Amino acid sequence: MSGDTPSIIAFEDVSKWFGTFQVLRDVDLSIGEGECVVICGPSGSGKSTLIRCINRLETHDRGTVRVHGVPLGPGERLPRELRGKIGMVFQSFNLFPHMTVLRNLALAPMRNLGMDKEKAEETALSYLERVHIGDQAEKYPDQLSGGQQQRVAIARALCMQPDILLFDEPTSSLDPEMIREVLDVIFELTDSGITMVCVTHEMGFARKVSDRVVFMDHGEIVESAAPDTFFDAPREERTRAFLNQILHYEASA
Amino acid sequence: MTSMIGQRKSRFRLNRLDGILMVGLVAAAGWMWYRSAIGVAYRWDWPQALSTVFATGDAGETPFFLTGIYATLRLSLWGAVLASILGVLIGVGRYAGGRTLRMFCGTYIQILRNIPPLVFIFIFYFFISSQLMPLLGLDALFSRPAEEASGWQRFLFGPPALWENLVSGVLCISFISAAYIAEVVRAGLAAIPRGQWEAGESLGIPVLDRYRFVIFPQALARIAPPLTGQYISLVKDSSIVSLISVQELTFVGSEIANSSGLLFEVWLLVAFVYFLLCLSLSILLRQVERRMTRHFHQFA
Amino acid sequence: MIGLFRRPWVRRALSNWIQPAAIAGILVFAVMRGAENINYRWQWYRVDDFLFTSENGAWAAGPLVQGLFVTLEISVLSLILTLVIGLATALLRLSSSVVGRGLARGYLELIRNTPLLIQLYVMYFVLGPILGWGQTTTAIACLAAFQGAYTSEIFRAGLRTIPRGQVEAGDSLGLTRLDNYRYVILPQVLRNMLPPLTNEAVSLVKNSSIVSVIAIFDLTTQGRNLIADTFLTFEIWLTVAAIYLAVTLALSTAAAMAERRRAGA
Repeated sequence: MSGDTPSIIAFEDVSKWFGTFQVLRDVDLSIGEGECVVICGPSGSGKSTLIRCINRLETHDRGTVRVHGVPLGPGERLPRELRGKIGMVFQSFNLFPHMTVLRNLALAPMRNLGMDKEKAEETALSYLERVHIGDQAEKYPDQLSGGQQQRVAIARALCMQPDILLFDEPTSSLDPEMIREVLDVIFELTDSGITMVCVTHEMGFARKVSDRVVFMDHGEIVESAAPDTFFDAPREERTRAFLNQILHYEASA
Repeated sequence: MTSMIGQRKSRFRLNRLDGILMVGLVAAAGWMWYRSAIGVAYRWDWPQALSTVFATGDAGETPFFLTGIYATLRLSLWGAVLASILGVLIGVGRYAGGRTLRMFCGTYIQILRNIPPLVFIFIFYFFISSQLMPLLGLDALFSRPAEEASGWQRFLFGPPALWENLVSGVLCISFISAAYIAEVVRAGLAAIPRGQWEAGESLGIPVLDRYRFVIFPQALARIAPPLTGQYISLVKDSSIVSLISVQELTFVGSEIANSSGLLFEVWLLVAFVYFLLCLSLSILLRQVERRMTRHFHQFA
Repeated sequence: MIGLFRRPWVRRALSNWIQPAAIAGILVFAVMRGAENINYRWQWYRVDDFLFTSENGAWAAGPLVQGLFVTLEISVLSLILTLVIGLATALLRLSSSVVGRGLARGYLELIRNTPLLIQLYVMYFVLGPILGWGQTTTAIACLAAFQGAYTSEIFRAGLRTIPRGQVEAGDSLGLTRLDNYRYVILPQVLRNMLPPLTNEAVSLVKNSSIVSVIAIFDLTTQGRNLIADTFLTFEIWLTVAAIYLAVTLALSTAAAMAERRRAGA
């Protein structure tokens, strides 16, 4: 755990069930301010559920989740003051299809922060520049490629100036040739001071970008370590098996 | 489009089926003419029918037939407005309400859609006239002297003497139509991917704004076509309130047909007017629909 | 037995039907109590006689049940005719005949853009006399002509949605054309069409109440006549509505069961 920085997200003994199936088993995890954490693991291991518990798209059933020091109990939604402060980037982009790119970005600042239209669009444009698609502002999402859409989604989340940014498999529904451009944009965010939690299968990215890699299996955290240690000297047998499967494949591919 | 049937080769070449159908049509028309002219010896009298239908009253009042058309238009307009409001409320309640609200909205939709409209109208009319009107104090409103009604009120709601009559009709058809609209609205909302809600939520957009800017515009684009169908149905269904003596087109048609004895002509004329109304409405609504959804690349 | 309630189709039937029926019952009861306050005298005990009468120990159908039989008879006959008209219209629309397509199109527009009640009046007052049809024939023809226009869309959709690949797969496996239709195409068409066709039957039962305006002694007419005789307005209308609801409920549930059986097979 990162003992030197104060923790901005903390899971304390968190469990969650979908019906009789336990997706999270007594999860303990602390994430420091400004830290970039990659969460990996086989599908169905509870990675997505874990990060969706941070911005309360899902609620947990036992234990406590602390965000910005605010304790959230079972079933509790996000308190008003935190709404919009935790950005999320989804696997399927979830852009609003009936709005231009610019409007997609400006909507939340206008409705949540009460920004006027001009200011909001100005902000929006600056973030679009930052993800290198300033020229696409007037287009509709379905006129963009997958990679461009996901970059729009990242810019949209940034417009709310979040302290925490969650990525839920941001490259999983992209064609291979577009993965790079999205990962580059995420990489460029690492020195912005935003705390980032990223669920991904991109191990090369994890190694290069993250401060820490967390491996989950069957709803529990198996191993949590700095990327070098994690990839070169994993302690747990399950981690080794998982890495073996994934990396073997990458090496041979 | 992949299809096993309906390979259209050349559009304007007649084939054997065309021949058979044309012979059949001519034979049917001939048989009908023979039956009407000789079989039942009906004497068509269109000039008489038209002059009866469009005759102005003794004091120059609007022809009775036209008042029926106006009444049907008013009935449809106000019925559509009320049905839309109720339908959206019930549909949203069914989709997003708490357990109890969902159950009640579901019950309303299921029952109204599964008993004959005619039976509902008879029950409801009795209920309105014996209970609802006195309860809401509407009977007092409607018994005001007619002179108080302004020109605008007359234009929008028709002659004051028939206001109560109109309200009964509007309530009946909009309650029925609301059930169908509610189902369309519910299905439209349910078809919006969950990710759209989640994106709105994670961006911190307040819940009402989420509906207003994110969900409703998308739902509207999806429900516009079935909704168009519902509005046309509403105009058509408005004819059954003639059976509770609401003085609209069908009621008026039946009065004229019976008093003049020109049954064939009058009923064909009434049918023709409904046909024109519904057809022009559907063309109009299709235009509106196209304009409304023009930004929806993915649905277009 | 407990397991029965876990099955999806049972749960769907419960939430779609049983629950609304129960709530409706409660609402009716509330209305009754309300009506008592305005001095409406409920006389439910008299309704029994309208359903069944017993004379010397022999049970006979009362007027409402007789009306129900007429309603069912008209619905079934017009359903058969509806299927014929619907299929013919669909085939004409997909045919290569210009006249056929035009004819189908004209028929559809005519039916879709005029009210059922007006169609009934035109048939009863204009076409009926010309063709020498009686009330029942007129009623059946009218309902079928109306419903057929909507059913034809179901047939058309059913015929068009079978992917070309299915036909080709059957061909390439060496099935004869007939076997291909029998084992590959038709089962898929029917599977897609059964649920919407059940809805057509429900629609027919509902719409059939409109024939009461041309003096056919169906359920609605019987109800109206009884009310004219007895002034038990609420009791009889609620009973009539409940009977219609029971029939449509039974049809929908049967469809759900059939679908489940077919899905399981």
